[in-house]
Amino acid sequence: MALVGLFFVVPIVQAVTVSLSGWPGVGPVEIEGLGNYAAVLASPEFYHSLLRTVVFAVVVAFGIVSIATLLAAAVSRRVRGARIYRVIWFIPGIAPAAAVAVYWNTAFQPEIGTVNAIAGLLGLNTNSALLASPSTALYPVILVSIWSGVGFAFILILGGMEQIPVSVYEAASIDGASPARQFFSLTLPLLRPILSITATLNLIWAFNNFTTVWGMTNGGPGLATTTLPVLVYRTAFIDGQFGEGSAIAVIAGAILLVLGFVSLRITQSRGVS
Amino acid sequence: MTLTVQAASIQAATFAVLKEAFEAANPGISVKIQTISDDQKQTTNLQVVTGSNPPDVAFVPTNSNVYTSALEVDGLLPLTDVWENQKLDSRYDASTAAATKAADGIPYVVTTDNLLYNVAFYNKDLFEQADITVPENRRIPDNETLYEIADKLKAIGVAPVNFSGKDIFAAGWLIDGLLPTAATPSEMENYLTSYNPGIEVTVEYTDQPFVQTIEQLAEWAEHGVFQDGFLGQDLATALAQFQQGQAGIFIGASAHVASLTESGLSYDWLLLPPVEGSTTTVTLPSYQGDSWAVPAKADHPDEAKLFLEFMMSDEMQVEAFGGNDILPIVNTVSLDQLTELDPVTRSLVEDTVANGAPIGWTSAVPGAFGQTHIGGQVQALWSGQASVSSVAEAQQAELLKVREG
Repeated sequence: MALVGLFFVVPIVQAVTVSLSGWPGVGPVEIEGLGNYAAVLASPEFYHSLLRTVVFAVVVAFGIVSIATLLAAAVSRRVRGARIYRVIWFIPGIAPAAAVAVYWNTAFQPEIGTVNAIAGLLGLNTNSALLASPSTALYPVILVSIWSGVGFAFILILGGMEQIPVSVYEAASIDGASPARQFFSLTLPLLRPILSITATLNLIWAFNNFTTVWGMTNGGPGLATTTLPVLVYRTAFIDGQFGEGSAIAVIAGAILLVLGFVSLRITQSRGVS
Repeated sequence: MTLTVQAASIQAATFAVLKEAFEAANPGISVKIQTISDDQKQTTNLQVVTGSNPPDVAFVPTNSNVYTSALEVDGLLPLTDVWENQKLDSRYDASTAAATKAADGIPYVVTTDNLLYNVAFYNKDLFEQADITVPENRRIPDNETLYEIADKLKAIGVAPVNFSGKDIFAAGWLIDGLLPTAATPSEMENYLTSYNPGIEVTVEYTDQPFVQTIEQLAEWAEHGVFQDGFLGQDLATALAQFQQGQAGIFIGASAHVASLTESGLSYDWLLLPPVEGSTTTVTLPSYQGDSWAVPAKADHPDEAKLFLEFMMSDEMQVEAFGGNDILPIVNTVSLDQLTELDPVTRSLVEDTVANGAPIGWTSAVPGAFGQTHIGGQVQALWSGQASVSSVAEAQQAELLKVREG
């Protein structure tokens, strides 16, 4: 109970208290009322940022779970080199997020970046600047977030797959089920609890992802990749408006709580049925 | 005992000299350098400086939110004794001394050096290859000539002007170069000071000088003056590309001279043109905000003050700063004493002697109002998410907000 108080109740109470104040980042916190919430909820920037964050989180979580499931299925089926793939696919997951962001920012640079160099080898345009355009800047960030998140999800899902008794697949084979049919009719339904918890966790992590977004784009150009965590950082630490920044964080936390709860309820109810 | 001293990453060489010399001069005191990033110095360093375990000597730029917020909670010690011992009131220029003190007239920081920025370093070999002639006065006269230079550089397969558009401070550099060419001296004075509610606003950000400046920025981007993808490129990448001969021009600062020379590049510098139609001579903007303070909760305040005095001595201004191509700020050090100064840095200083180097707008106004606010706005403009008028209106709205406190 003491740990719950220390790690959950105290920070939440502090965040809510600061969100009700005009705290400049130092000194005592003086509660002023709900002005920060009114300002945040009246700001178009907040809604743009919220929409961007939800899209980012959903696409990243879906991408991670889908790819990790396919990779785990391949390894579980003992494709050639499965042992090496087991390590290789996990490596991006253990790379420091800040280093990943800095590397991929450079990799996406026109002419000099690795991505454009590879595009050049394939006879494609070497001058694309995806990070510099508001209409495309989020795509590389999504790709990199999926790339770095797949490893951990892969290990979880692979662990789940390897718990499925071989006799189940043997029986299905005797009944004439093809590998694809076995994957969709046996593997996926039996993995549902693990898939749902992996999807929920990745949704939460992507929603809260600051390092990759900030490291690759600083939330720009303009506000094109400013997700809610980046907006909180900009408002609190760059603009020095910690009260308003905390209000955004509290609202984002509440939204995330609802999203996570709904996600778990949906997957749990399907799991029971 | 160990004295913890914060330093900007770009000044690592300077602080290595300071550490060695200070330790030699003060046996028993060991100096631990704590490097902080450009981001930290403007943002999270506030919590470090005012926290329970601050460094003994803190890096607190005077145009940052860290400085203003730390002062509000009495988080910095007055440095009146350091100023008196080092005679800083007379060794700084009058305007520097006034700008470095707080509104109550008390100094809480010492500022150590003078940074010249918005310098257009150019690659001499690429200019020759592209058949570009550099104006004798180092100033590109107008937009037409700038576009011609950019086109010639692109024609030989290199980026024209490498600029770190991803960095929030970068747009401010260009504005600091352009605004004095669009505004009259009195308008400029008002832009520099009107964030202070005690000063009457005589020129607004929606007025012609500021609007013309923003228009110019939009026009340069439209004409492809900057490298492809400049909005996704940070300073380190833009600099590296220039050092590797992949860009004709790099927008940097006097602090970049050391690394440019070290890279073996054949380079020199010039200045971008004024706003369209202006006949005002373009000058190098200067920044005198690299400042150090002693946090109120520092463990060793007396030794920290000793370190500050040591930093400000003529000897260290010459050896530690001048010796690493960082320009000393005190007027008791002459250019002749700076024998180690790179010829490029020397020529920058000589230009400031001839033409002046007024303090830049983003260097003078609070960071959250100038540098970071306008940086985001101009990024939005360049990426098609804002218009010139909306940027100007947003800046004027921010002015009113700042004045209201």
